[in-house]
Amino acid sequence: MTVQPLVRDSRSRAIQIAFFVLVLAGWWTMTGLHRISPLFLPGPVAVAQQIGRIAHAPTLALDIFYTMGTFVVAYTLAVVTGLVAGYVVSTRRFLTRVYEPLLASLYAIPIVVFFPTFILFFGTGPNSKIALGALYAFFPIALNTIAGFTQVDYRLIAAARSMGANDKQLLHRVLIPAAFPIVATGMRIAFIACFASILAGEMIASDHGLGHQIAQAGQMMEIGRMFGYVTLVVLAAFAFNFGVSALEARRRPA
Amino acid sequence: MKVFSAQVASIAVLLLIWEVAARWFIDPQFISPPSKVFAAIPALFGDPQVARAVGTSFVELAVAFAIAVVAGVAIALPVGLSTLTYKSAFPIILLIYAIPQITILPLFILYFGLGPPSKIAFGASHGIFPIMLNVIAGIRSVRPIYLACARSMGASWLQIVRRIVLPYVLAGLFAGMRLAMSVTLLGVMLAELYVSTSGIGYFTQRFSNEFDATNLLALITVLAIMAVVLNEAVRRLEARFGRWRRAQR
Repeated sequence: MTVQPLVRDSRSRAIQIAFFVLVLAGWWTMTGLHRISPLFLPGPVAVAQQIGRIAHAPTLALDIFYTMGTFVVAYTLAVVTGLVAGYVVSTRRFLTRVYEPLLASLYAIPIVVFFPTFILFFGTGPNSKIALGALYAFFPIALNTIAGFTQVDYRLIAAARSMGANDKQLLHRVLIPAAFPIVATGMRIAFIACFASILAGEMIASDHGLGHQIAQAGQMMEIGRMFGYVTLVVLAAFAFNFGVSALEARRRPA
Repeated sequence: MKVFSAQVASIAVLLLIWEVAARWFIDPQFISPPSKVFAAIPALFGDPQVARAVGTSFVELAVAFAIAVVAGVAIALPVGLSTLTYKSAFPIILLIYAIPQITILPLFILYFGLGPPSKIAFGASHGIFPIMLNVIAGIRSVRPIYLACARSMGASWLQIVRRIVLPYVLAGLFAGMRLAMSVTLLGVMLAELYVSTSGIGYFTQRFSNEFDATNLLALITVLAIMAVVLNEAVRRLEARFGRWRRAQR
């Protein structure tokens, strides 16, 4: 490696840090000088205080448990059905040509417009959010599973076959490892879509959960408290993103 | 042909299951059979209030999409065209993209009010990301050898932009537009479902509060069909402007 890219990297790192410092400083001065009403944008100190208050509230653990429980059920459902449906469709060329475009078209529908029917059907409890989150996560998993298994290099399959691999060996040793990166990408997209749609469902109609707390704080004009909850959710999303990136980097052969 | 008839048959089977389930197995307050839903569509859209609501939603979608495309390209060009800005700004864009936007929806309502502007802003905030990411990726995928080659053959700056950079930008833009269209629609619908005084979201809320499953499903079905058609239209455009890229591989 030459010196040139290193110098460039540190320069862009400096620009990035400067950007965030500027944003924070701007936030601080604008709210500190009362240029903006705290009703519209509370200062960083006020938000930090609210996070402290939320952390001590007895409802936080319950809300986290509620949202995460809903998420785990919805995501598991989507992974199982999406992988199975995707794999079955990928096994025959005819099935792929019939169902891949159908699934891709359905994926364009904003599923959230069906949420009122889910509420009619499942009530305002966790079941309606499970239905919404699972549907949102199903499509990326199914579509990427199809893409992953149909795009396996034919020469790999031919080579394994000619060396006498049976169906099971072919699946475990060739098809799954070759399809894995694309399937994993689908599962990652699905994870984010599932989490966001469950939060959305909780914000539109629910009595519990983190989404409900955000929506309620917003409706009561307690913007500081709302920012507090938003910060917690965003930090959780970032932490998760980092975790998955690290896992993916580990899986990828060097 | 065989593929197409199998697709039609699959949809027919789904509709049949829905019809049978709705007619004999499920409380009609919750679901309505497709025969009734489709029959209800003309009367529903004959209602001037509903027709106006659909119009409102589509104006919101169109304005939000236009803002997303223009603003997305305006940000993507300076970020993509220089290596320094790319390395500095791209991680920031990705970081902001990782925020679940739905959590800040109440802020949009607070800043832009209950009417269409908050829906437009929220929709545009969804659509801008696929545009930015795809246009930037498009510019970054220009092969350096083409630039060197053009320069060595004496191409002017304008010719390089017009002949080499622009095709990549357009291919990225149209790939981004399809995703942007679907997430902009999602953003507009989310904002309408959260709180609204007009638009499709308002009527879906109203029909579900009145347990009017037939009209609710009729409205949603029309919206879903429109979403699929819009997606198909943008996909055709994408194929048209990205064709040379696939041929190159």
